[in-house]
Amino acid sequence: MSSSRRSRQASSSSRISDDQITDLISKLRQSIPEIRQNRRSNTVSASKVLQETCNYIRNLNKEADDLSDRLTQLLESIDPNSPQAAVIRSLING
Amino acid sequence: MSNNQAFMELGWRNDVGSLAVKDQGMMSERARSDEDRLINGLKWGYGYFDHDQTDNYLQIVPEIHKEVENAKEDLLVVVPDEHSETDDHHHIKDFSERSDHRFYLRNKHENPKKRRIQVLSSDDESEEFTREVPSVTRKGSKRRRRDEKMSNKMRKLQQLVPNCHKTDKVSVLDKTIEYMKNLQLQLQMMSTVGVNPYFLPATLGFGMHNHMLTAMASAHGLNPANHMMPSPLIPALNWPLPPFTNISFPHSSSQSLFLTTSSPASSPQSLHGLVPYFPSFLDFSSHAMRRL
Repeated sequence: MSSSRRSRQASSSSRISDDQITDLISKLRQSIPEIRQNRRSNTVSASKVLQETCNYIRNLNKEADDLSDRLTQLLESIDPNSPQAAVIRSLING
Repeated sequence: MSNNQAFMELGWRNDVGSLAVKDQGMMSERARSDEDRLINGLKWGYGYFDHDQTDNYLQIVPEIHKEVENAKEDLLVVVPDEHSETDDHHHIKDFSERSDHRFYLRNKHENPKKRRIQVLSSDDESEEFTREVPSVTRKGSKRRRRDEKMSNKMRKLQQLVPNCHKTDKVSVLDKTIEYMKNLQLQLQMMSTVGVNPYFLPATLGFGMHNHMLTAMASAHGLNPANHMMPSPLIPALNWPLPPFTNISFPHSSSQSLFLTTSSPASSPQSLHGLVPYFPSFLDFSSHAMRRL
């Protein structure tokens, strides 16, 4: 009795987490432009979404690095005591 | 072809008895050559079986065709064993082998006494069985491979996302989404500042800066609650983190954010889609575009 209840609980909780995962993956899919634009259909596999997420995050990181470099250059060109410089510094260090 | 098959079935059903008798006779007639073959080294290859099948098939055909009409051609082919060994083999090419197989499987049920046919059909069955098993295991291994792929990617994501210590899928995905959105936001911020650093003071008054720095802090894996910003302007300690966590997509939401707070220098068009495709008006964008 107790064991059956426990197993039922386990299965239901796993179903909940499955639903959660599906939900999260669809959220991910929506926030990745590559998938959002190229695939009109909803039939993108979860592993594809994860793969695209990995690629996308790597791209974002690269862009962030590039922008940091750019802002560093910018910082050298402006007055270091100005509020803009402070903002840029915080952006770069952020 | 299906006609032939129907004929055969008919033939079997109608005069199974006479056919059986006839077949027995044929088999005994043929027994000598079969024995010879067995002695010679058990050459029971497929070719031989095919020949055997045609033999049986052709024994039936005349039975039917006697009742029907132009049976002469077929009768010509139904010359016993040794001679037909070559001719019949060519003849079988005219019939699809599949129908023959089906025919023999049915044979097995209707007339199980025939040893030769039983051997054949059991051979058929075993073939089908061996064909069945790998497909099942293939399905299982496919699923296993897919699961492996998924967990591999989960692990990759976990490595990409900072402060992601929990290993369960839900929290990894959760963290990933959060991190991604913060990164998008941060990039948007940086590129905006990169374009026009002088509009920033305007946004400070609206608290925009706080939002963004908080988002950035978490984007870089720092807990905003205990992260001390170098600038005294930013009371990041008490700032509620969630303002950006339920944004559906940065460029729709932050576009409106920027619209309310931005200086005239940053038009909504220039900000629209900033993160997904790097805008060409940034002088460093060619560098970024190359990778996208």
